[in-house]
Amino acid sequence: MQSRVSSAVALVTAVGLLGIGAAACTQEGKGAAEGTAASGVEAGKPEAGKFDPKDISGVWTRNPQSFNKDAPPCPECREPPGGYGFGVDVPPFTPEGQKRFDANITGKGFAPDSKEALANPQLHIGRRRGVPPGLANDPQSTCNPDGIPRLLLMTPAPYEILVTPERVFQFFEWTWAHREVWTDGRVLPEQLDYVPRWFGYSTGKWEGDTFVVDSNGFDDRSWIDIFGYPHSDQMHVTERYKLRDHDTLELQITVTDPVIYTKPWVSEVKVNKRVAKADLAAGGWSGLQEDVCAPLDEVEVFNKLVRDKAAGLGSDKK
Amino acid sequence: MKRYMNVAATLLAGALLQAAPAMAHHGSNISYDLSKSYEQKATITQFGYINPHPIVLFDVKNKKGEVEHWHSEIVTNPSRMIRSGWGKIRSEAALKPGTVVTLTLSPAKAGGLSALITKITNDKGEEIITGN
Repeated sequence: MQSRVSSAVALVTAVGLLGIGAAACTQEGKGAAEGTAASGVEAGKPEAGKFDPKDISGVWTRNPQSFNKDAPPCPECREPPGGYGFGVDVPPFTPEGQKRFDANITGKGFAPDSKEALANPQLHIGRRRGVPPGLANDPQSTCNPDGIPRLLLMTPAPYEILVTPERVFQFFEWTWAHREVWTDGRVLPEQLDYVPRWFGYSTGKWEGDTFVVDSNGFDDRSWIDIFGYPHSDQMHVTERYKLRDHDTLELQITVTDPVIYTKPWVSEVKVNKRVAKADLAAGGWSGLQEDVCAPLDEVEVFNKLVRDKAAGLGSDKK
Repeated sequence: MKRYMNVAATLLAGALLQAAPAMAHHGSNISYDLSKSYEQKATITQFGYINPHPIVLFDVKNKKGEVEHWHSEIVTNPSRMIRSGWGKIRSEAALKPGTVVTLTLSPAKAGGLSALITKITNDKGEEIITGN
């Protein structure tokens, strides 16, 4: 069984490898601006209706118009009010989950007394409890890793998927992070026998035309999304990637964490659009931007000079 | 000095809708009072084209003729700026220290000399950096 999976993976990744060369070329600035599709599999778009359902290599975004103003709008890429998060159908917390949720103070979403919060009482409290970021305790605001699944939810920052024979990589523009998904047939590590990771340990396999990624071994200090939903080190994440067409990648994520949630939490389907190489060109370069969070900038400059003053911390009086 | 603008409700709603993801990401809607929006002539003192949050420091002369030193952020980041044609060189030239610009600001709810910049207009009346 495992060898069949491996063979299938090898075939798929071989196709993907064709894309790597082209994708690598996109990283070279010379002539990068005029070019071909970011997927690298072929120069132009495939014939209408024809696409390789396993060609997930490429650059993906949930806000295509931030790369090309003329791109068709993608209302289904959008999220409910309050910002881009994991999902609105939050399962009830366990007592431990409630405790950790209350301890996470987010600077995102709507302020509790805002008219937006009052107009959207149907939203889970996680999206209606925001405080000024200077008063929050979001690990991200001091440049700690976002981890998985949070990094998959950032937008409009794109991420690139790169398929190699034994691993599928994801490179994220936001925080310039990467993550590896092993497709060599290995199984996830035993609990208690590893260093917890912000990005977890991940394996992937194809189930039909769906690429399924399973991860565990997480560092419990990361948040599930910007709203401060917690997870424990027992969290198991399953991601299901499926190409709807050549330019549309659907992702649905399930978090199973009995320490925190009374049942599995299934995200809404996140719809991503392929970014063409030409649309990645900016400032004489093409590719993902290094949107890194360096404490020298974020903590020493932005937080002190702007974020904290906006929260009334050390602000100058008028 | 400050001129509060009467922004048409529909216009504001449209602007907020467009900016919603960025706002939510930055938490700007929590820190700043977006229902208050006013134009302000200002002199740039520092512009940081830094990831992931650019900063703008500027001076304003108040009614008493005193100079106030303000701290602010723009609801965008260098990645978005460069994709809309505002690379480092062009942006830094447009916001060189000493440059006088007209800013559209939403003040920090906490008060103080802190605001969110939603629009920057140069001396020719052209919208720069924020408008693309």
